[in-house]
Amino acid sequence: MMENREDFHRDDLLDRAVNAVLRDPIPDDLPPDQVARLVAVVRQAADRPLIGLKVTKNMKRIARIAVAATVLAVIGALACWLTIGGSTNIALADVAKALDSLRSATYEYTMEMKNPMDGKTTISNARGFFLAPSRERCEMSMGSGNNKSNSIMILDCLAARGITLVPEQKLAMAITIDGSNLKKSVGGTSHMFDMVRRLVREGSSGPGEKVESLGKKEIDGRMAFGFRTRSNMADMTLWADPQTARLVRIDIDMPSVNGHGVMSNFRYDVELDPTLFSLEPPTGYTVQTQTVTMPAEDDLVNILHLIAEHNNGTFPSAIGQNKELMQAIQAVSMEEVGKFVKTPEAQKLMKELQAKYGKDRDGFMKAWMKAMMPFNQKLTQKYMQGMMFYNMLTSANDSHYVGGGVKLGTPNRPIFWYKPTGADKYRVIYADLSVKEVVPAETKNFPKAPEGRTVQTMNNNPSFWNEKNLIEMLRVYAAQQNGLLPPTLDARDIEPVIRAPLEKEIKAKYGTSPEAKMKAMQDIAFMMAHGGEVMKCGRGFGFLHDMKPENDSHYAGKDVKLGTPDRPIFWYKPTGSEKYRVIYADLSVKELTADDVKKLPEATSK
Amino acid sequence: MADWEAVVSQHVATVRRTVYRLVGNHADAWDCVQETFLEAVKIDRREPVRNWSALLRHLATARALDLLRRRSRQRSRCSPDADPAQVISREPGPPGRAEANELADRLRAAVGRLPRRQAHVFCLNCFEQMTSEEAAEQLSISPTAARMLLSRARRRLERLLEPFRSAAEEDERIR
Repeated sequence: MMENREDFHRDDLLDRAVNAVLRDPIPDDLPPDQVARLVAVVRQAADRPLIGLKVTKNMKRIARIAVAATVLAVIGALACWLTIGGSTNIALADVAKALDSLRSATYEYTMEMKNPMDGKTTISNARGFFLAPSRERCEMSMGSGNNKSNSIMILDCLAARGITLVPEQKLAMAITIDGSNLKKSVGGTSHMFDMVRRLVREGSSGPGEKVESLGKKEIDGRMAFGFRTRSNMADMTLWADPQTARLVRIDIDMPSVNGHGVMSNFRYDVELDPTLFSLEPPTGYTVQTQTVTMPAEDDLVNILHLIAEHNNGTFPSAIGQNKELMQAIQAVSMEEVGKFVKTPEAQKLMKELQAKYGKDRDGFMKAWMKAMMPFNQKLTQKYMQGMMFYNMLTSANDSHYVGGGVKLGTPNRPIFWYKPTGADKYRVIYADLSVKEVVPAETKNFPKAPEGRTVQTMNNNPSFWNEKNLIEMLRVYAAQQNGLLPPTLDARDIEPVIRAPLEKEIKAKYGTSPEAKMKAMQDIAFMMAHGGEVMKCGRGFGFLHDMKPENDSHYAGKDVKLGTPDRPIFWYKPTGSEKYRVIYADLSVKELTADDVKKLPEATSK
Repeated sequence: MADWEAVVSQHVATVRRTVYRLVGNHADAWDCVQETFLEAVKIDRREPVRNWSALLRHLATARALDLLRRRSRQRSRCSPDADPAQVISREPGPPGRAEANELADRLRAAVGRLPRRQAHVFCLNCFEQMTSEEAAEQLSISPTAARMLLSRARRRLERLLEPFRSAAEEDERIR
């Protein structure tokens, strides 16, 4: 092999290697059709009104904070839209059919949702009112104490109008629904009561899963007949009075938003004051207007493109409120808000508010956020239409998503298909974002959906929290403790240590009272500057929280110093894996067999 | 907005050559080619592009390096102690060609283990024949920094390739 040995020694090895690479023959053939497809993909990408994160480093500090706060608000609004549903997604065509024998109804609704970015759970409570033929009112409150926020959404599907009221800010957002998109929409609404009626109706027909009967069971002190239905938005377990067939309780799981909700205390045909459903803004409210369109297939194509562009050109593992979606939304929000802040209109507003509030940062931010509300809503709607389209597909639409890990632009690769309501053929979205119609038989040759399910849950998404989050948490902890790793992975041992620097900053700037702490939490700039480590801690706990018994996790880091060589401190068996992942005290990670794991030091905690 | 048909047609061969040199197979190279042009679309939205050739070669190198780094990580996961120059192929073949192929593969693997910017400057300089100044401009760094990164990259690559020399010597001794 090494015939020219002397040459080998005389030559500089690196230069020879470089020459070897340069001389390595490259196949000449570049099929014209392949180039043509590339041109098509690139043109399509260039024609789409998207994306790219603009850096805000040249902005003034106050502008940067304003941008950050606005982006946070957009993300918050996004979560809200996905859970309770905006007041805007209505199937005008379905409304007439949805009118059943009910004259009116009231109910209570509680929703718990875990934020995928920081792992925190938000609880929302709502009271719902329905008045035939088409009016709904939802009084919603989120958070608690000083962080509590209330809003009222009123919707009249037939009138294609709605209004959102924010009493604290005396703000009214009047909404008009543009039905011109109806043909491209699948119909339906995410507004609670109408959504329930639609899912029950559509769940019993179509090619997807049927309604599953659960038999009789005692619910809230009375016998009820149960059945389960599912859509991309929610799995619902409905319990109905066997005599009257009226619903008594509904459990709603929304894996795509990591949420769980309960609708209960239904009352039917009660007298409701029609003024509750008035679409006129109350006196003294600032009125803003907005026109919204029905979500359509194009919106889903756009959001998939958006996510892929921010995910190294790869489609997300699932469609839902996951990390891939959130990072894409965050990036585009930054860009859009960054652009807006540079407009003369925004600059003028900012100057006025600065002149008015001076060093009163809280006052400035509140006024700024109020002024930005219409902008936020438009931005949220723009990017959430695609998710809403997906959420509105029911089992009758027989949708499948198989794009996880597929490269944007891959030719002839189906990533999503569904059957529009009432259609004979399926609509197929390909990885190059082209869309075609195919007969049902053709879909049988398409790639299989993972586990027959198209939505993502906290537990089956390995990329949501991962071991890197735990490693980062351990690193942050050790940095605070002169290199010593935590005695256990109990939050009571770790969190106080990681929070200590933040607490110190809060104490120095705001004092020690609970009110002072609350004030600090509301200071976005302050929290962005000092709260990062606490956030990392939260993600690490998210990873630990998702550990199941079959993951067989162990911790052995008590009294161990960060950096100790060859000292295993944590090991677990990832779901579906034969081998264990072992984290060492130098925070390196290796895979070991179950037999090797038996030889590891005894764990101090599980 | 750019005339994308013209940009793609004019530069696709160069872009493919740039990535193929580093990744060494057609399928991976084509993935990188697509990613390169999609990235270029984003850049074109932000600012006018003055030199398409330099930009595309820079982006293509970055995408190919991403792939090399992923390969390198996968290799270390399979065998944490694996070294890019550790195992020499014993496959028969034309002696000069086999050695060159092997050397080229070793260098690709070693580049995948370099820190990102070192690898980038090295590739732009050695494979794309860019001067330190040109590479510096693409990476938005000073020419001095580019020269320093290049020097470090070369030293590190020489170390990473050293086992290849030792193994070859042993091979020769056995023969």
